[in-house]
Amino acid sequence: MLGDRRYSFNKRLITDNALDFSKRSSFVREVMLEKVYPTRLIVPMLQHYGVPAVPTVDVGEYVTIGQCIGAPEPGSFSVPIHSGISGTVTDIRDVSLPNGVKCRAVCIESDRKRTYHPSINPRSNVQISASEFMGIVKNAGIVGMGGEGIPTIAKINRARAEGVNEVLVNCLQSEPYSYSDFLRITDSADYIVMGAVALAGAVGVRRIRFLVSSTNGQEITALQAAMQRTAGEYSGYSFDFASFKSRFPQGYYRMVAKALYGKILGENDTLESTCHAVLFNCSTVFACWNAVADGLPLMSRVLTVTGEDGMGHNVLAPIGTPVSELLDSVNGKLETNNTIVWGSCLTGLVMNDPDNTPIIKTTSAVTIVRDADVHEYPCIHCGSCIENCPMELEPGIVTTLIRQGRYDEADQEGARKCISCGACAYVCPSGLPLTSTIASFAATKRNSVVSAYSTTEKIDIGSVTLMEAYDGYASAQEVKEDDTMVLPFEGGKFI
Amino acid sequence: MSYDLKKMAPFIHTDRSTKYMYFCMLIALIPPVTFSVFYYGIRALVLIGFCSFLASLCQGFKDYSAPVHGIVFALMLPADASIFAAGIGVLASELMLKKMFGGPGSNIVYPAAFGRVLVELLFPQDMVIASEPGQNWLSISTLFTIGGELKEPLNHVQYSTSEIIAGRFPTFMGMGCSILIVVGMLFIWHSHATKLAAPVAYLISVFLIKLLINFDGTVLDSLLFVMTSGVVFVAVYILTDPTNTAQFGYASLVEGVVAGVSTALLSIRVSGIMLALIPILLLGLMDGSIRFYVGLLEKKRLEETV
Repeated sequence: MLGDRRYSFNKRLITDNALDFSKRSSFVREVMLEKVYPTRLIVPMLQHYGVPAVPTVDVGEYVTIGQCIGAPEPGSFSVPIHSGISGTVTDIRDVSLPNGVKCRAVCIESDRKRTYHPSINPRSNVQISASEFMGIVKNAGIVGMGGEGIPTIAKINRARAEGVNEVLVNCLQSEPYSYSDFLRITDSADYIVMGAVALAGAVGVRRIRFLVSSTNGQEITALQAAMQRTAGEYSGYSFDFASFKSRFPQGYYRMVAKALYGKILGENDTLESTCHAVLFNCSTVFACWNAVADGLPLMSRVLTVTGEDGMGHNVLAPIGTPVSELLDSVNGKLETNNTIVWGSCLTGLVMNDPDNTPIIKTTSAVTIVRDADVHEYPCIHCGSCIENCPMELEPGIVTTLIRQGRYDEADQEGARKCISCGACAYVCPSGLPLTSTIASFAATKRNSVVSAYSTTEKIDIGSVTLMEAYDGYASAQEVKEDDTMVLPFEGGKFI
Repeated sequence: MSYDLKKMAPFIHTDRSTKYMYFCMLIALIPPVTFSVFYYGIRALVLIGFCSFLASLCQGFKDYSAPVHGIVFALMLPADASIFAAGIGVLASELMLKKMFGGPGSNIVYPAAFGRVLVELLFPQDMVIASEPGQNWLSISTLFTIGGELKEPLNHVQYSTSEIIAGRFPTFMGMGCSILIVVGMLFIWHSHATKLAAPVAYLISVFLIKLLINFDGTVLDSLLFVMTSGVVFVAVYILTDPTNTAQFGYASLVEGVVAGVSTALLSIRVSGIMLALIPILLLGLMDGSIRFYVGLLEKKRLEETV
């Protein structure tokens, strides 16, 4: 199943791969999955692309694990939010997240009893239809967990509307020191295989491709073993692996399109319309099957806590866990000269108030970095930034133009295409703040907040916009296949 | 909307900083420096020390680029050069070329090459190779002798192949020890300080074109030309500088080939240090254009491929 071909978005002549972090992250991947039981949660109502959900609980109310505490307003582009602990709602207040989002948040004090909501039960019969599956995904509040945060139901509907040919499962986490996806795959490969089948059934395709890094043999082994174990549970689906050279940011959907299909996506192109494929992150796929099989909504996630002082932990934490509690639980020493980063050290955002900053559905890592001054030298025109820019920009030149106030020229050089991946500033031997200069310029132009991969407003692009898809494009089309079984599980065996 | 750039990602940086790159170059220069002191004695040590100190004084020690340029310049001098000529060369390269154009990273050609060509033109008598290796080891009188008669330069023709391989033939201080220079190149390769696409393309081009030009010559003749003309030194210590030579992609190969072909063709008419340095200076001037046009072609090719 695994061919000799190694895909890469990079088509240049490169003599060494400075953006292959697969070797330097090895200390994290050996660590077991640890569970975090926080004493309180701060659950923001906006953790996804779209508008905030509305709190459905009041202060003083008792909530249980898996209970819906925030629901979308009818007709709005939003997803439900669920509680990851049982306890009492202590406050409903405004919070500011490091990515600039300001929204209401439900604060819950744990009763330390771990009481589940009565509706949460393992499903004894997983023989469900596409519409049922989509209903589960929608109600479970599942969004893209790789970082983009697009409601999964919108993606499924868009894929159906665009008539895609295959489902891609993104297992290409290539950021340094981030191993949450790796752990999820090796720990729960069965769920990922079954989730992929379910998603393929919902989308209406039979072909599933797992995008894996050629350096992560354990992932491939785990998935292959899971396919063999679950082979009797479905029929008619074909699996395939696409092996990629390890190079950051290979998992970004534009890079996948370039590497796998040889297509450069324009600002208004989507993977579905241009490449006839739909991409789901492996953690999202897991969450889908978790919702189907175990009846669990998206209320916790695996993330990597890493950084200084030899920290290297992969933890399963309820969504809404304050970062300070997360660090306490892994004995992370927080020294004054360290910076806490919400996200990975290449694309993350600085947080100033770890007590009041929670992890959300799209947070795959919390990193502590030493607050060291990077010495800035004059540009020596080595061209490393050009060599490593995944968007084919010339970051050194663009930065110079911005610094000189020649904004129109910077724009013409493609400054707004910057996806803030951090590759240029990482490789710059002169320590120039290339990414931050270009990304902040691009964000100012877009009047949006600087965050990783923030290239365009994703809601309104494509021939079928996510908003249309979310609003029920599929139901408007009266999808005929809804009545057919898309998950032909023989006997409805529960894993 | 304004942002604190210091508080923005990425929060890690590559270990290969400018300082690291030039520090590695300094280490890679140890073999030819040792060689020149071993063969040419105290005057070589004084010249190398003086040039690196003066260059650092002009530019500072911030990223080690100044001492690297100073040492490279000194190693391209004959052992009998005067301190005065050396000082003029260093000042010209560091002040005229680097400072005037905006400091480190803004020099349009390689500073040491510029300084060396300048002193060759200003002080031709001082730049003649007049000593054989091992002669006048303790003498320092030549350091303070300016001008004088224009002597007939010694050349390597009467030396055996083994002597040329050992670097024991009259040439500029650090340019004859090809084997040791290759050791420096291996260190650069191992430390990932810079890339070697351009230097390798340059050396291969010089060798092949020289082979083509000398119809009746042998492979050994071309090899000896490469070893005695100073091109190995130029390849390893000048073409690895990222400011004036493209270090990646097809541009680096193109620049290496352009410089190599020019050097080999120039060898028909020109000899001495000019043979190695004129193509390098011209390449420095053309570097921006080559990078631009090759980059455009590469972009076009990528677009067609994708």
